[in-house]
Amino acid sequence: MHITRINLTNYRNIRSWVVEPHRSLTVFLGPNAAGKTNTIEAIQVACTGTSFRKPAWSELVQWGEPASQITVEADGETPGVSTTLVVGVDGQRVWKLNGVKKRSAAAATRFVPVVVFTPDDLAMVKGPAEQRRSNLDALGEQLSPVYGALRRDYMRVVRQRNALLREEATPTELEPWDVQVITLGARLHTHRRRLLSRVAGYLTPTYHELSKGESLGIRMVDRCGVGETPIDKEVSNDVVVERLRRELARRMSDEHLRKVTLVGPHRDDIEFTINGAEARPFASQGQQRTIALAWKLAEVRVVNTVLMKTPVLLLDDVMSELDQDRRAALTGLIQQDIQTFVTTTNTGYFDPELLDQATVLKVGLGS
Amino acid sequence: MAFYAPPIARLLEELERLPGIGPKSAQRLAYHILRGDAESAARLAEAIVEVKRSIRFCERCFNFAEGELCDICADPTRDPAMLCVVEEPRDVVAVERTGEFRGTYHVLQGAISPIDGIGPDQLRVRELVDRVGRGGIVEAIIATDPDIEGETTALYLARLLKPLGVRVTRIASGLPVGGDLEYADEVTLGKALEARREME
Ligand SMILES: [Zn+2]
Repeated sequence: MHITRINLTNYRNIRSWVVEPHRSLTVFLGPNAAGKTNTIEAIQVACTGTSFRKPAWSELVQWGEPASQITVEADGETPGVSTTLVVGVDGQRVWKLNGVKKRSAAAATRFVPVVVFTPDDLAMVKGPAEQRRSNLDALGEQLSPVYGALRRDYMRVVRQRNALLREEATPTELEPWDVQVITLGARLHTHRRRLLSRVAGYLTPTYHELSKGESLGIRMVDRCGVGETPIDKEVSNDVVVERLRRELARRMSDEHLRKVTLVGPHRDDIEFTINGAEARPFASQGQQRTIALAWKLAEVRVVNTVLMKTPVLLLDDVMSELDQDRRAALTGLIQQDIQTFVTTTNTGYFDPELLDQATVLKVGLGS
Repeated sequence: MAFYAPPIARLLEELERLPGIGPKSAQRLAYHILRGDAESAARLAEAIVEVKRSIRFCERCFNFAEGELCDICADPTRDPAMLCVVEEPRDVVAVERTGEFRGTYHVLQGAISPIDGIGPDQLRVRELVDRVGRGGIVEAIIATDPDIEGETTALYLARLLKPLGVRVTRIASGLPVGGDLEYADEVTLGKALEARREME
């Protein structure tokens, strides 16, 4: 897929801006804090309905304005798709597809898959488990609306059940929520495991290549009672249901004591090993970055295989954090017809030949 | 808030108590009322007082009613053996619109939601159990919303009602995920009723 036009009005610090991006590379060049990231974020919001910055919706509206508007037009398998989002200062959202109002973000987005890579992602190996989960879930949501709905529903069940645990509810009151944790939790865990296995299929060889011969291992650390199972081995939903049921019973007194749901996929984690050693405590900064990079490259491949579309790559300030070899691995995608948007403070990170065929847009302070 | 004359401040305060009305919407409504003539303001105030005076909850099903019983409970042609359990009075309207159901209703007046402090005691659950316990009901169709709270409420009710010897069914979930029963179009809701399945 290719984005052909981006139109921003009263969006964060941008009063009005129309961008006609290059089919291969568009560079937003400017000093820090100039708002380069805003455009990257706007693309992600219009394409997926979410932002990696996780803002309150009202934050997207320029100060003093009643509403903000983003329109992104794209070309590809579905020709001439245009998604518009209007956000009011009260956070109210109106989504339009080709000018026609839609009831939900899901109905107006999802035409252009995106892979976002930010400096935060570079810390994914050592960061909190939540970061690794949400990286995987964000991919899952783009691949299937069911995945997204399942995750939101499950998280709501956990919040509701936690509220009950805090009230020291009776087993009768808890029971229907237990059923929900088991049913939805098992489905989410099964989907997640399957997705991680897909990612791993590309991640492992890519890491091997980038690191010039190290072997990467990926493990799902689950809180569903499934236990040690290699990631490439399929675990059926029925098995997860059974294990979750047993685990929930086993941890019941702990949950009542701590007044919080301790069992379920909301506590799943992903663990990496390098040549057999755990990456979290032992990996060097370079190795961690290589894992993060290989992960993003794997996302591109997974989107490609599952959706049979090329994603758009959004790189926010990561070039300066990577060495030349790793930068080359990223820019290599541009040659594979992956439309790429980059924010940077310095074009020196790019091959001059690449820049010759790119659109470079200067973003100044307060523009 | 101290910038407003006391009567305006009082109106804003009352409006903000309404569901879905924030400070901005309250201001908009208050300005609208102030800009309009005295007659339309009086009509609005009367309508509010009148609805509270004349409408109450049906003593049997807890739908809106003008008398002791609502029109549906008072209708001898409705089948009392078939009971459709819904969250809100507006859901009764939605099911009625399908024209597929000739039984009676029970309006829970909400769904279980611990975050909002709503448990079975805040709903008309005890009344439902009493009603089913009195006999004469063959099937209870749980038609709560197809969202998390509605599904959980359905699970909870099934556990309570099944031991009483009634058939407990759930409408099919062909409705959009996270959707409201109210917004399901008639064909979909009609089909969902028809394709209901027995709850475990
Ligand atoms: Zn009634």
